[in-house]
Amino acid sequence: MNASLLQLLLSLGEVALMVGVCAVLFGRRPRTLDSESVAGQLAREVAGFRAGALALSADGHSALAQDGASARVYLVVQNGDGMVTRELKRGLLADAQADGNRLSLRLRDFTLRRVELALPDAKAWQARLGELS
Amino acid sequence: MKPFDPVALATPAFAVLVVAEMLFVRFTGRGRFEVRDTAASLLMGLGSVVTGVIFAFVFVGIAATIAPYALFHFGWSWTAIAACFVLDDLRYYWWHRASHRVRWLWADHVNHHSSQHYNLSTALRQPWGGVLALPSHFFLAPLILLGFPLTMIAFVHGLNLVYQFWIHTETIGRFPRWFEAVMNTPSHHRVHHAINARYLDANYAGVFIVWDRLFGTFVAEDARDPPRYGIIGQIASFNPLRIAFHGWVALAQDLWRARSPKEAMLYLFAPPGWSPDGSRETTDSIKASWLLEPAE
Repeated sequence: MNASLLQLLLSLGEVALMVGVCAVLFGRRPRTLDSESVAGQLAREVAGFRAGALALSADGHSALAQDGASARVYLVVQNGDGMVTRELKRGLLADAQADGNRLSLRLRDFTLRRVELALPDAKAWQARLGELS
Repeated sequence: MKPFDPVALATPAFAVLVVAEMLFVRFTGRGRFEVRDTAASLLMGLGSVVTGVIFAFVFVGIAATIAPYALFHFGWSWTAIAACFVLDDLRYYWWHRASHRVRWLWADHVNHHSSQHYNLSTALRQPWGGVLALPSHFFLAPLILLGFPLTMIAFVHGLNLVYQFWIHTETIGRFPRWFEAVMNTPSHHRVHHAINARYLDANYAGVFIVWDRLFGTFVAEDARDPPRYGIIGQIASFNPLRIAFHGWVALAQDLWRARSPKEAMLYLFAPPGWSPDGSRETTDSIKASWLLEPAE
């Protein structure tokens, strides 16, 4: 076997071993969002953010929040033990479709292309997103 | 003195130290690990080595083209190695500063900052597309033109990278004042990886923090504002391919939409976040907004 290929395979094995140790020590802790964590995250990330309307997806993985002062709408998504936020602007939001209590967002974002939220007022949020500048 | 590759020699120690830090964090609670984040960082490190080997000919080609024009010819001596080490660290400072302030370079360097965690595995989260960040390659030119041998430059740069490994940790607080004044430390580098407005665009040093103090980019860690890590507009993926190319894809999309050559040049060379209509955030605009906020 080629020495370089062998070295690559050994390195992959080493990585797998380290990830295994990490999994044993830290596991996969399921985390979900709540109103407080979403508002706190936005307050830290967006200068002057004032919590307005907020809707948590039933699965706890994502949320939509509106800035009470500017009416801007933000998407917050759980990512591992961290959160990812996006201000939903027309340039970013490719499509928003409501079907019953399901709101499907399609984004022009290489690492966050599609988000499905289960919201009781999905239609109202779709309408709100339709007014984005 | 016979040159060797310090990074290759240190790699087994890196692995041992990452596992040691995991154990320490697990039993003390000082620091954070996330399995998928760690896996992504380690795979980014491995991929970076592979792409580095594949595209080494580009760096060697540029260096070999410049080398005949060297002003002096330094041989291998301890004095030359020490001088080369210090000058390479100065070179690293300016390259690193440019990598945060020039979108073309940031498209690559952003990968290293893309984790929301700060532990030893983050040190190994390295980019794959260095060969595409063309202006990066010319930062070595001054050292080559001064007359340091290419093998010596590679050697001291390896030492520099080995030094930077251990400062990616939350498990170490602060060192004695004299050490923190001169050397880059975990505390200084936590500031560099932080996205809190007060910490943006600070502490670019590799080994000697004196460069930041000298060129006005030093910011001290403030216990009242603990660092939050990652990038403005955190990425939502642990897939190494998406991590490696998200910066390049975003840059390519902007270049595709550019309405004039001037706009394209600004997308390439202006700071990350620049846009023709000013609708996106830059680190400068974020810091300006933060300064306007009433103090708590």
